[in-house]
Amino acid sequence: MAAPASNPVNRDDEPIDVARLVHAAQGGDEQAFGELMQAYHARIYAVLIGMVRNADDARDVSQQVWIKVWSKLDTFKGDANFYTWLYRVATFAGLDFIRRRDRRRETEISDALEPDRNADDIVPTSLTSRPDHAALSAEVQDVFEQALQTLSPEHRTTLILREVEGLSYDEIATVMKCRRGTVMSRIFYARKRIQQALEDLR
Amino acid sequence: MNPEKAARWLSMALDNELPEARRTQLERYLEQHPELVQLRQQWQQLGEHCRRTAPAPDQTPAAAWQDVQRALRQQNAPREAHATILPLRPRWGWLAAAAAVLIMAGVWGWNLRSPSLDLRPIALADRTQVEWVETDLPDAMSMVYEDSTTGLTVIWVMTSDNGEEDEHAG
Repeated sequence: MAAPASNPVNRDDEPIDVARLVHAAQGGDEQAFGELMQAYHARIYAVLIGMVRNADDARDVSQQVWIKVWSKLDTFKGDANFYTWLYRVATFAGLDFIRRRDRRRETEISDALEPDRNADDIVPTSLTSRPDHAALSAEVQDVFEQALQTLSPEHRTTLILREVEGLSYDEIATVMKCRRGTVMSRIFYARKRIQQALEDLR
Repeated sequence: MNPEKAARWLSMALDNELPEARRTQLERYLEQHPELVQLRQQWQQLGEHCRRTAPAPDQTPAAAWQDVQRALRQQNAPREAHATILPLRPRWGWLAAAAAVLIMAGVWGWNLRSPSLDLRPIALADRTQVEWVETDLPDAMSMVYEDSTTGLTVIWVMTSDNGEEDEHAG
């Protein structure tokens, strides 16, 4: 990520005035909202694909998130950072999607060899085409993905918010509406779990 | 410090969430426990791996914004109107529907008991004398009866050629 979530930039890498844009968007200014979306689109997508582990699903949920943000923008009072509010909307939408998907899979379990290993997910489609990913063996990627899938959605989301988005424990606690100690425990547990899975591979 | 506690502190230290005093304490512990140094390196690699596996969206923000605008227009949810819809959760929706049915049934039942509003069908035919009469009009039939409400005698003339009906009261 080029800039921290607290200091987003526009397409020309210039800092944007988030408070002004939010205020304008709350008044119905679609262009202002488009600029906010421009600034945070990639971040929200990164969080969501980290959570749902599927490019198509991440795009769908991302769209739902932005529609929800537009319709709920009135409820943002400005007493918190906009990006933590935005991440909260995104993570709760992602968690809701995962729960519904998991329930659907439970009912379709007879059609699947492994419930968490659908053919259209595990490794995001765009991931395989990245040059910097070529050095990682497919086996390591697979183990990493399996380990991530074994984490609860809450643990996975917490880890993604920390490692990918670089949010602090306090920020994650605000986003996920939990205690700071819970954040610390979730990250520690997630690291141990994934580390163990990678060690088992060796 | 036991290894479990050291690992927890190590995790916090990686995230810059460990207080300075404890960080110093942890560093001293790591000097005596090289296996934790290795763990730190592995967790750092794990973090790099997480960041590498977070691909950029395959859709530009502008394209995504167009999709969102399209979806918003389809939903017909203009924010300017501040239209407030109070969605009922599914279970409350059923309860509300059941309550509405009960209320309607209660009103209907009460009306049946009420002498002022008798909704039972009135057998007008029993109380109306209808008489068919001859007419000079070709292909026409006439019907005469007394309207119980107005007291007037009503004559219906029905012709079969064009389906028209004429009504005369006197």
